Amino acid sequence: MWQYEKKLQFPVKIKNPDARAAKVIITQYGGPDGELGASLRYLSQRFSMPWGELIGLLTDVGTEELGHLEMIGAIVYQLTRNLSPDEIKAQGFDAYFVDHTTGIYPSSAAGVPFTASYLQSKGDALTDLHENMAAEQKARTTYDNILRLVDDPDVREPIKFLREREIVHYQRFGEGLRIATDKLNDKNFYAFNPEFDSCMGSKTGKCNNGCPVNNNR
Amino acid sequence: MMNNNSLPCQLSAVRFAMWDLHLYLDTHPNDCAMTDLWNEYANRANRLTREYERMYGPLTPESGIGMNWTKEPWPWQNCVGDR
Repeated sequence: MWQYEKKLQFPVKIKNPDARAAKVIITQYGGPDGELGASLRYLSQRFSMPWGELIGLLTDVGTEELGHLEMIGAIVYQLTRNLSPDEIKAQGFDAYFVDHTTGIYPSSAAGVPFTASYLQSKGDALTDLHENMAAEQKARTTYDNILRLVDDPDVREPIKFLREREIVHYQRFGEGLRIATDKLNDKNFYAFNPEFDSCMGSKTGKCNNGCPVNNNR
Repeated sequence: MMNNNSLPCQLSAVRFAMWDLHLYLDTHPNDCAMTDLWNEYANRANRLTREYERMYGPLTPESGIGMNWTKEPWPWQNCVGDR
């Protein structure tokens, strides 16, 4: 289960509101490569992931993503305080405002509501780890793009922190992929799906290294 | 596996009681009797947590790393029907 810690992973203290920046940054809350999708992806994949190390990695990274979701919410919240209706219109925030006022709602920059189709939980360790590495790179690109559009250092610092975390997570998932392939048949990584196919003759019922391949792939 | 006096069961019960009181105290912050009860449960939970972690391994990332942390079973792996 989870317990809440009453602090942000990295501080968010924005002095000047900027609805134009909020409008693009909201995409990391509920957009296609955002933190909500990231946390749901990893926390869902864990259940059928076969090895303790990889379950631990998915649990820990998925938990950190929930902290990042909170940071993005804090950034968008602080960027949209004390705005007049005229400023909201002038800064292009009116389309968001009419549906959500200045509440935090998971949608993309273009206003598309969050959907689970942004993520996959495929039930295949190699596939899911590749999905996760790609997801971290896509989020990194999104943060790079946000940094191209935003000048205020109060906003850039937490965004730079989040961008770096994508790179660290990519690295850890790459190592996770190596841990997985080391446990699979090194002549054919795809000989069986360790999350589905049973391994005959394995004492633990798990597809550990050296386990005989049990089907005709 | 879990009878009512087992350590995991006792710890779950005390933690759940604390959490339920926590929610109650969100809306009744001045209820001293319930605050005292929460403190009593908190002390028991600390003691039970130390005991639990000695027997079963870390409950949070603060109390364990590496193989201690990633060691199976994870909470949803209760082994019934495992192939």
